[in-house]
This record gives sequence, structure tokens and C-alpha cells, in this order.
Amino acid sequence: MHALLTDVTAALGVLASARRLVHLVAAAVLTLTGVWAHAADSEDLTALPFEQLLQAEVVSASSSARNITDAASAVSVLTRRDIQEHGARTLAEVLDLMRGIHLSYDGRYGYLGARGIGGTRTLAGRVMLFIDGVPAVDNLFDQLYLVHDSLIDVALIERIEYAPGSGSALYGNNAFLGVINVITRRGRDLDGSQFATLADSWGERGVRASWGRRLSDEAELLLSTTLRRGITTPSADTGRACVDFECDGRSEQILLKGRFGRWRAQAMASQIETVESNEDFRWRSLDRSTLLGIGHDGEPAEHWHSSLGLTLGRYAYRARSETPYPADLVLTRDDGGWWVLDGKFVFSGWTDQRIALALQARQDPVMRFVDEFTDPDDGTPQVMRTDVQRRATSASVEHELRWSPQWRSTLGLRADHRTDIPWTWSPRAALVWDPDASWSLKLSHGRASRFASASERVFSYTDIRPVETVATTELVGEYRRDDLRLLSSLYRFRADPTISEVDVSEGLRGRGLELEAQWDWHGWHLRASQAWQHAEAIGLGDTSDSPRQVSKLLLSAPLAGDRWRLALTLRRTGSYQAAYGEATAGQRTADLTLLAQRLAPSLSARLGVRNLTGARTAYQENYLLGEFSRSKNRQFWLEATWSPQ
Amino acid sequence: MEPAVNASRRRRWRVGGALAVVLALVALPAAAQVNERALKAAYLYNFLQFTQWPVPPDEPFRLCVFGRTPLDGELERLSGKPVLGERHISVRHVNIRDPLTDCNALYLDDSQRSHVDEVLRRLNGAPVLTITDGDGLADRGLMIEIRKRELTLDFDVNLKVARRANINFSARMLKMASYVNGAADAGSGGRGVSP
Repeated sequence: MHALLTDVTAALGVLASARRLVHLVAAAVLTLTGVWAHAADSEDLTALPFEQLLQAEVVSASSSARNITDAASAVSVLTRRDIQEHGARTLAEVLDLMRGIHLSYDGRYGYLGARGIGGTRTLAGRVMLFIDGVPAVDNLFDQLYLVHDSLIDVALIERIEYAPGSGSALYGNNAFLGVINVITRRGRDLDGSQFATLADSWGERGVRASWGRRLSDEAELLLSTTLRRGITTPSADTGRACVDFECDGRSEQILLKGRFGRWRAQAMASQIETVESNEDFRWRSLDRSTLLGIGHDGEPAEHWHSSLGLTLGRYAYRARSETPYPADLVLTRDDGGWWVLDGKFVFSGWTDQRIALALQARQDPVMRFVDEFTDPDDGTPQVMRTDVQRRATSASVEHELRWSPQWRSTLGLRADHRTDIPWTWSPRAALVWDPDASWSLKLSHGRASRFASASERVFSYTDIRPVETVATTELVGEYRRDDLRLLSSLYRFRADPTISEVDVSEGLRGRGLELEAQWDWHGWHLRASQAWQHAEAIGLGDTSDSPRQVSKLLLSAPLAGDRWRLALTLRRTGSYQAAYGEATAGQRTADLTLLAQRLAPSLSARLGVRNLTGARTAYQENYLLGEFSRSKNRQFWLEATWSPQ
Repeated sequence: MEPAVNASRRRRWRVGGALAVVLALVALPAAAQVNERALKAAYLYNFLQFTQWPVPPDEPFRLCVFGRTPLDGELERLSGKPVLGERHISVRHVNIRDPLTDCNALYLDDSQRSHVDEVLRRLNGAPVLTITDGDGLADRGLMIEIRKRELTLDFDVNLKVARRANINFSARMLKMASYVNGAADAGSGGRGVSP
């Protein structure tokens, strides 16, 4: 098996120039055309008894092309099927399958880069993440938690949608360069219990137990918990870390989700603890996030839909750093707490029109940064403590008008106010033309804002601007027909001087072209995307962690029908300037995943290889000390899922 | 490390062999693997057989399809098929401006889900059997929702809505449903219904 994989990797390494390989694949495709043309249509299913049809196994057609996110953007959608087939194990890995997105990592976190902005130095705050409509962002650092620290286990994602651009006026603060919507599974999707265990070749182990059911016409419930041990890196994409020191990590995630009539409730919590040490230092850290929410969906009057929600959030960060010689201890204790009350009202009583109103009231009563350390001069213990509180209000309105069967427009306006920030207005306009059922052209222009996070305000040495505003113009073309979807987006944005005092520039500017193709053909699933993007800090040059090209190829093939699947994931980025000025060469990664559904009646399994070729990773380019080994850079993993029913 | 020339050739052979195995597996048609769309159309055909309308439908049986859908090809093949004794299916495409109450059955594809509220308003409890493959649309008021499970297709029935339109289903069909909304009142079957 090992030799076989070495060969496959050798073949892939030569992919670009292997004409023989291309011929082989072409021959295979032609064979398959012949085979599949007949396999599917040979029987008249209507002649079979219904009971028999219910047992029939299907070769899946294209996954649903609908999306709930902002219709005037170029929305990229991944379904549970895509996530399963391509072996993405964390939210970061799922996002790394999407158009134009680039993930970077340090030893502990994953950082999202979109449209050329983002990375280990920039932190997040530019793309908004919603889980079932609730913003999953902490209130101290405005960070997205995308790896083992994420609020949700990837196995519970039903679909994930990414809409880059300024987005709908309804999405709010920090939906600066895009919005990610995660929709989780419901009780009825599980319809029973499920247990999964996972292990990888770098020592990580995990177990998950989930249960969900539709309890009655009115009620539905889902419960799930995931435990992981032996975490040494945030992702296999960093390559083998912890070479010259010891590290270990453990994480827990819990999800509870219920619906009763028009009421819904959810509770999500996650915690990760990591330890790193060698003879010179010892470092422990903990991140804990919690989100509790209840909501009500109703019809207060004819043609009105309402959606009300109350969310409570907590975030805690603890770190402990020790050196023995000289004896030094630094403790960090950061805590955040917030609540949000929001209401959304949609009126569709006027023909060809839809009006949405959203109101939000928020308070952050707890925003605390505490550092305890020993004064280097006199050895006395010191405590630095900062407490901040904040209140915020926002209102937004969006009007969608259908002018004719082919033309429609959307106008939106959002107003935000916060304790330390004057009223900020974010308008947005979009025009959509659907010349026929297959084509759609969309032009949009809008302004979005990002407010300084608590940590930016507290830890800046100089006066920083509290608001960053970006204006984006985007032209989107979409073609959709049966099992084929083609998407293209041409965009340009300009942002006012950034909040961060590190990039002292006159602002950010970016432009790019993104292409995406999605094609399902006789059980084969293909998804390809290419993004050319250029982002610069005006006056300073290219932004860091910003590759000029991001390419993704996801190919999944059915083996022996649909029960088994083999999926190849190819990701490629161009070279870029990483954090702290180090240049990083372009990177190519290939992953392979084998999915076996119904190995046994209630058992399915997945086997995967990450970084098939064992290539050096961007993280290793910039951080690795010590020797690099191709064979050690590959990661194998295995997951078994048991669904007793 | 760059391999020596002979090792490289052997590697290519082994790679070729591996690929041949994989491709053979891909080409192998598995037993009873069926096209998802064909199966959905077959389900639809069966639903028509097991449904009882308050007034028996005329000839031809009008199966309406809302808008253009990926299922169109398979649904066309239902044209002319016999249903409910001597009637034959006539498939016609409708949009929001057509009189939907003329239909005996209406299929609303997932791709048309944005029209669900409008369609329900227009139908207004008329005895039209509504079928969909759109996730969650049975809860919104459509009568039968076809759902994709891991490898098979299931269906949910919203019996409450159907009863309001004076449409009924045979007990045999309700027993095969994975969920029947409103079965508790009716006392009929349903695999996943709580007692």
C-alpha cells in the first residue's frame, strides 16, 4: 500500500507533463460514457412496485443549487456531500475548498484570506461567519475560530455558503469582504444516533456521538458532542509541526439544537487546550467559546414574516507562559461576554416586491484583558488589566423589486452605531438581469464597514481610526443548466485607511477575477475554481499573505456505483509575501479521500491522505526549524462512522 | 529525490496498473444503481396511484410542473402512462400566471422553491396534490416531500395539509413514508411517527 501510494504521488508529481496519463484518462472517460449511458436508463422504474423503489440505491444527481445567501452575489456553495467526499475535517479545511479562499496557519490558529486580504498578521474581521444565522465571532479579537476551536464539528454541517463582496445590507458589521453562512443539520437529517471515531498518523484521535430525531409534528431535536485528543497542529497543511519540542492539545465541542413549533433554540460550545514545551519554555493556552440562542419565527400579519432572536455569547482565553531560567511567568486571562437581541421583518404583500427590515440591539458588558507578569527590573508581580464595555444598535432595510420577468433590483441601507463610533451608513445597490432561465447577470455596488475590535482599541499605541469602510463594485455572470453551473465575478474594492496601526497606509485597494465551474456527470462530481486577485496597501505595496492566484480542483469519482467514492482535491496558490516579510513560494497540495458508504449495514468509513506529495508547506517555509522529510509530511487518516438504526 | 531511469519505468508501469484497477472499479456498474432523477419521477408516478381526490380527476390526468426543472426529461416520460384506471397522464408546464387549480397534481422542484409561498396562496386549499423535492417544503405546506438519504430516497407526507384539501392517501403509502405530519390525529401509519 505504501509503495503504491509512493507511485501515485510520483505520478501526480509529473502530472503537468505526463501525456500518457492524459491519454489514459481520456480513454477511461470514453469507456465510462459507453457504460453509463446504458446503466441508468435501462429499466422502466414505473413498472416496479413502490416498496422495491424505496430500497433502490441512487447515483446522486447534482446537489441542490439553491442558496439562502444574498442572491446578487456570486455565491459558492458546498454541501455535506462535498465536505464528506473531500475529507475536510475542520471548518478551515472546508473553506479551503472554496473559490478564492486561502488559509494560513500559525502553530495554533487558522486564518482566513479572502480577496487578497487576511493572514496570520492581519487576523480576521474582514469576513463574517454565521452559524444558523448567528454570528460566530468573539467580541475581543473579532476572530473566526476555524480549526479544532470552531464552534461546530464539520460532520454537522448540512451546507455552507460563501458570498464574497460587500454583501447584503442585512449582514452587518464586519461583513466587510464577504459572508460565510453555515447551516447545520436538523434532527430529521440524522433520524437516530451516530457514532464516529477518527485517527490520523500524527497522533490525533477523536470521537463523536450524535443523536437527532423529529419528535412530533412540532418538535425536533439534535444533540452532538465531539472530543479530540493528541492535537499537534491546527491542520495537516502546516506539515508536521512540533519537531523540536513537545506539544499536545485536546478539544471538546457540543451542539444542542431544537425546534418546537415556531420556537427554536441552540447551544454551541467549544474548548481547546494546548500545551507546548521544551527545556527552555512551557506554554499552555485555552480558548473557550459559547453561544446560546433562542428564536421565534412567525407571521404577525398577512404577508408578514418575522424572525426574532436572542443570543448570548461568551469567550475566554487563558495563556500561561513560563521559562525556568530566568524564572519568569506570564499569565493572560481575557474574557468576553455579550448579548444580542435582533428582529427581522419581511413584507411581501406588494406584487413583485419584497421588503426586509432588520433591527438589532447589542451589549458587550464584559470585555476584559488581564496580563500578569513579573517586572523584569525588580521582580515584583505586576497586573495589567483593562475593562471595556460597549453598546451597539443597528437598523437596516432592503427593498427588492422585480421590474419585469427579466429585471430586478435590490436597494439596501444599513445604519450602525456603537458606543465609541458615530452613526455609520452602509448603502448597497444591485441590479440583476435574467435574460433566460439559464443566464443571470448581476451588477452591484456597496459600502460596508468594519469596526475596530476591542483588542485593536485597547492595544494600539496610537490613536487608530475606529471604522474602516470599503466600497466594492462587482459584476457577476452565472450560467446554470441541469448539472452544470458556471460562475464568474469581476470585482474591485477600495478601503479607507485600515484600522490596524501596523499597516500605516492610505488604504487598501483590490481587484480580481474569479471563475468557478461545477459539473455533475453520471455520478462524477467536478468543481473547479480559479481566482486572480491583487490586493495592495496603497503606498506600501502588496498586502501580506495574499497570493495573486488561487486555484482549486475537486474531483470525485464513483467506484462500483455510488457506494464507494474516490476524491482528489488539488489546491494551488501563487507565491506571496507571508507574515514578517518572508516570501513564500507558490504551493501545490494534493489530497486523496476514499469514502465507503455501507461497508456493513450501519457502517461507513473514510480513508484519506493529506498532502499526497509530501511537499513543503507555507508554514514550514516560514516557521520550520529542523529537518524536513517528505514522507513525514504526508498525513494519513481514517474515520469510521456507525449509525445504528 | 529524482529516481533512476529503470526505477522510473517500473514506477510508470505500477502507476498504470494502479490506475487501471481504479478505472475498472469506476467503470463497474454496481447492482441496482439507479439514476436519482428517474427514481424521483417513478416516486411521483406511484404517489398518483395511491392518492384519492375528492372528485375523481378527468381524462387526461393533468400533471403540472412548475417552471423548468432538472426533472423535465424524466417527467416527460410519464406522459401517456396510465393512472387511476382509464386516465392517462398529460404533463404540462405552468408558471405563476397560469391557473394552478386546473391541475390534478403539481410538482414544485427545489430549484423553484422561491415560489412556494405564492404557489400555496394561489392554490388556496384546492384539491391539487402537491409534490416537491425541496428540503423543508412539506413543513411549508406542500403535501409530499421527496428526501434524499445517504444512498436512497425517502418521502415525508404532510397529511394535515392534504386533509384540508380533501385529499387522502392509501394506508399502504403512508406506511412507506418516513414521516407523516398529522398522522397522530388520523391514526394511520407512517414509519417515523411517534405514537
